Parts: sequence; C-alpha cells; structure tokens
Amino acid sequence: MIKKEHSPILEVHDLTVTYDSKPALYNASFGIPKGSMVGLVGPNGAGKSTLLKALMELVPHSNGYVKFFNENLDSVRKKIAYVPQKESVDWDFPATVFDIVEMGRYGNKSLFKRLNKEDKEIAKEALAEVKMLEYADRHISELSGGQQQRVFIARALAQKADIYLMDEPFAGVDVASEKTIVNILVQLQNEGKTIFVVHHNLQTAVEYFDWMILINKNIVASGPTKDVFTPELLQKTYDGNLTTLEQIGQVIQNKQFSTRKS
Amino acid sequence: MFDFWIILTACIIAINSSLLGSFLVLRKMSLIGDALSHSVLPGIVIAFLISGEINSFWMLIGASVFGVFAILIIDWLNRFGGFGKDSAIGIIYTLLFAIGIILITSIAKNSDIDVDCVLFGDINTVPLLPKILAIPVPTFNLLIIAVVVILTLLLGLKGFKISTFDKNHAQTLGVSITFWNYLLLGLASVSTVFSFDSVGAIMVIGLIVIPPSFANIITRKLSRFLIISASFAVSSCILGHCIAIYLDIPTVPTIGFLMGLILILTLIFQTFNKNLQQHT
Repeated sequence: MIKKEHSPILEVHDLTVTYDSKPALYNASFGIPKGSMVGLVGPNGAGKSTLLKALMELVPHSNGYVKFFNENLDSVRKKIAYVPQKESVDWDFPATVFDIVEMGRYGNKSLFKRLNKEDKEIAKEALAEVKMLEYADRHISELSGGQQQRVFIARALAQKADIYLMDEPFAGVDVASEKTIVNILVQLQNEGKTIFVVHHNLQTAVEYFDWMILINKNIVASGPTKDVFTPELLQKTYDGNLTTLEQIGQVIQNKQFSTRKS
Repeated sequence: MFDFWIILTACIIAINSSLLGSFLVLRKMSLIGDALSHSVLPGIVIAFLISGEINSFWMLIGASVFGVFAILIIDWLNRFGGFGKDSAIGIIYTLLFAIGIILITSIAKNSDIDVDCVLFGDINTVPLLPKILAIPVPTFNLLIIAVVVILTLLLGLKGFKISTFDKNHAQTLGVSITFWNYLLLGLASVSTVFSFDSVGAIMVIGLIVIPPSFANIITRKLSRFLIISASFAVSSCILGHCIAIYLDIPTVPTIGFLMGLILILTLIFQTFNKNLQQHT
C-alpha cells in the first residue's frame, strides 16, 4: 500500500541501491507530504539507513531518482539537514561540544570564510534547544550516548533546514534524552518542517509518527500511520520473525495511536 | 652556523610532518608515511635513468610523483577494490618497492643508488651541500614546502576539520571529501619525500605519528592540538640535537628516542595521576 502524494516535498522514484551487486534497496517509490513526521520502520538489514544515505547521495544510486521540493539535492542542499548514526564518528576527536555544533554552519558559506557573530549565536541557540548549553566547552569524549545524540541534533538545528533526516536518533539514548529529542521533533513539526526518522522500536513508532513507511528491501507500505500500522502490513514487513510479531500484536492491541495532534 | 642549519632543517621537517601527521593520525591513516617510504623507490630510479644524476632535484620530483601515484592507487584499492586501508597500503608499497629493487638491480645497475640512503638519511651532511640564496638546498626546498603547508592548513582548517570528523555530514553540506583528502595526502607525500632525503624514512614516520599522539593525550581542542603537536616536534629536535652533540651520538636517532621517551613518560605520569585522583 503506497499512498500517492500529489505535491510531495520529498519524492523517491524507483530507487535501487546495490552493494557488491546485491540489492540493499529495491525499486523504492514513495512521496512525503510537507510538514509530516515520518517514521521509517523495518527489520534489521531492511535497508533503512541505506535509504537515508541514498537520499543524501552518500551511496550511489543504481537506478531511480530522488527529488526534494521537486529539485535535485544539489540545488536545495541548504534546506536539508542529515543526522548520521552517532556511532559513525570517532568521539575522541579533539573538539568541544560547541565546535561540533558550529559545523552545522559550515554549509551556509564558503569554508574559507570565518563564522560571524550570527553563526555563533545560532549555534548557541541550537545547543540551548537540546538542553546542552552548559556543556558547550566540554570535550565530546566526555558525553553519554544520549548527550552525543543531542549534540548531533543541535548541529542539524544550526543548519536551519526545512527537512530533517535522522538515522536512529533514539538508539542507545537515555529516557531524558529521548524526551528532549521528541519535544524538539514536535516543535520542528509545529514550525512546518518535515522530519524523516529511521526508527526500530514499534511501540514508540506508533506514538511518535503521523506518517509511516514500512520497508524490507522494498517499500511495503507508505501512508498515514493509522492506515499503514495494520497487522497484515506489519506481518508482511517482518515476515516470519516471531518475537517481533508478538510485539506487533501487543502494540495493535493497545492501539495507542497518536493523540498528541488532536 | 654548522649546527644552525642542522637544527633549522630538522625543525622545518618536524613542523611539516607533525602538522600533516596530526590530520593523518586523526584519520587513522598515519601508516601512509610507511607506505610512502618504500613506494617512492621506482620514482627515484626512473628519475635517475632520465636525468642521469644522483642526488638531484629530479630524483625528489620522481619520488614525489610516485608518492602521489601510490596514494591514488591505495585509495582506489580501498574504495573500489573492497580492501581495508591497511591491506591496500601493504599491497601497494610492497609492489612498488619490489619494482624499485628490480629496476636498481637490472637497468640501473651502475647507479649506485643506495636503498639504505632512502631509509636512513643523514642530517649532518646538510650544511655541506650546495646553497641557494645562502641556504643549503634541502633546507631551502623544505622551507618552501613549510610555507605551503602552513598556509594551506590555516586557510583550509575548517575543511580539514569537518572532513576528518564526520565525512558523511560534510558531504551532505556539499563539502568535497575527495578534494580535502587528496589535498592532505598530496601535501603529505611531497613533504615526506623531501624530508626522507635529509633525515630518513624512519624519522619522518616518527615525526608524523609521535607528536600528534602526544598532543592527543594533552589537549582536547583542534587548534591547540596542532600547536602542541608542532611545538613538541620542534623542541624534541632542538633538545635532541644538543644531547646528541653532548654525548657525541647521531642526531636523528637521538631525536626519535627523545620523542618516544617523553611520550611514554607522559602517559605513565597521566595514568599515575588519574589513579591517585581516584584513590583520594
């Protein structure tokens, strides 16, 4: 089930990505409406991170295309912020928290120009939003997993983008950090931004996202959460995985569909 | 004046190697120094065959060209051949070194290129060499490289920083990872090759790895990291040369020994200090 979007802010058409000639993502097509909070859900190895990287052209496309605002990535780069998995970098790198958040401003001008007062102010605000301002001068190796994630999100906020793509922002994060991050996502959505999150926890997925994409190498479903989060479609996505299916049954029973918008 | 040229040459090499080494170490690519030390050999031999002179500027150019070439194929093997960086380095430097040895023992039999010369240079001969503008040739060349390295690092600090810390993020901002990568490796190979000539490969590798490793345990900020790395390298060179004269031993090994010793002592001191703090 893939719901057609008439004027999508992000449009993916027939996207295929292969690693060593094995497809990691196959013929993905979907559209995302502006201002939605999208959860990308599927089992391990389903190609969730690959899809996100393919959107940002970090991995080559074997086929298909991606359009943001009906344009190619290169012409709208400044409007899109990407938050990689926090495990993808070396946190022993000699830098303070503020140094990292500042890097969110590097894309807005030539790398050879100095950052001005305004840039610093924006970085500071972003850090305050993730409640990490008092950590500004700390070295990044002294942070917990949740704090590292918040620093990454602050860096993305400093980019002042319209679309936010986040790879597993809730993985290995403490409860307080998860709450802070969710609040930021809600606030971004209220400001009219579009958010696209790779997520693995079905229990919270149904709570957080109003649009959902189910993926297992290909796109199983894409649409409003209430239409997509059904036992049939979830079974199709997690085929055969018993423990996950039990978890799904439980979630469906509870039917805790998103209520925060009403 | 004699000692002045030796110390100055050592210091310039120390600055170049430790600054470029800082980024190589942070990118976990410091083995590139080892790779270069051996893969430049065919370049030296070919340059000799063309120019017919030994110890010439052309041999350094030949070596630099092969250094850049080695880096390109290492990168290619790593990215498209699916080999890890360490394996790619191992494959290429063995291959190129082997080609170099074969060339020396066959076509360039009469060249008397001494392989040891590439691996263990002697800095004490620097003041005796011909001069340009009253500066010994190797020192002069290294000085130009130092100006280029320092200017590039000052202007490109942000580019090196972001592409080293998080290349995926940098790429999504439209920063060209390939550009910064090749700029760093290109500078490193030219600087390394010109340094081999004066202090030998082992010493250059030491100057690439040890000062940044020292900075890494002392500081947590990139700008300070670079300054500490360079100052550590420079002071080790000055101190090392003085000790070498006093004890009448060779300069280059003394500097290497001194750097290693300070690094290990600092580590021991830090661990001791930490334990002490935990117990009180």
